[in-house]
Amino acid sequence: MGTLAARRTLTPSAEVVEVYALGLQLRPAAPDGGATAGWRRAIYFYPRAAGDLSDQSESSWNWFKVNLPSARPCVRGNTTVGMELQATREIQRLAVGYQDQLLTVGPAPGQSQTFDFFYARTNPALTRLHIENLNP
Amino acid sequence: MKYPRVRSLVALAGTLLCLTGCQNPTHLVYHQNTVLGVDVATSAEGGTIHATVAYDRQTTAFVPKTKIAIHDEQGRINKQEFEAMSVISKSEMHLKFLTTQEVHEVFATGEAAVNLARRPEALKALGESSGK
Repeated sequence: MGTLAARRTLTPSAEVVEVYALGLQLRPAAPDGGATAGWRRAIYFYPRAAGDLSDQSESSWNWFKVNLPSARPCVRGNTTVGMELQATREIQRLAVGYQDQLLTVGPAPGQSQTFDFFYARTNPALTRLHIENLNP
Repeated sequence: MKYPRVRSLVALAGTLLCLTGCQNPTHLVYHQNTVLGVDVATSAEGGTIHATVAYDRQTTAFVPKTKIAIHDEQGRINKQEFEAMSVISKSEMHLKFLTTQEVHEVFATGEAAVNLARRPEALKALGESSGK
């Protein structure tokens, strides 16, 4: 609720979803639960399925609605001007003013994993996200 | 506090944050945060509240603990202890006007981290790698 526009960018190794909101935005569900009053740009990064890979990048826009993938994002971030209430598994916060954050969620204890992530704000099509789990 | 409205805001924030509960980290988490204003936050570790008035920039890593077995001379498990999971990581951030412009994060955990630590040339390559 409160979403103004969303851009979905598919790169050869990642799916990038940018969500723009202005006014009051309520986010009751995980992984980015909370509320915002003001302007907010959120971004979520998901690895693409192995069978879904292509060499090309593509981008599309949605208005007033966004359907995030069911999986939890490996990396998520937001830039907020206004009031930001965040109630997530990792961080709980209340901020008023300007806030810019990035959160990377890695594996659980006991898991052997390699992770390589690159993102450029001015060109999401360059996003690279490689995750390899080495546990049997 | 000198300013009653800020004091009320911090008290309200503390109450709201306590209601959301405190949890131990269940996953490895890297957190980058820039704030210009008023900010009250708790981490996954719980028990601490971080408050900011004006400007703050934080880089935080939450490293969960893993259970390890201590063996005796006969190879039997003597006791079990908790220690931080094995992690090797590199983070490179480029900011402009308080906003993240470019990010490159690389890490290895568990057995992959242990194997990487045993290879100095791989560690050097990791340190010299860039996102582009």
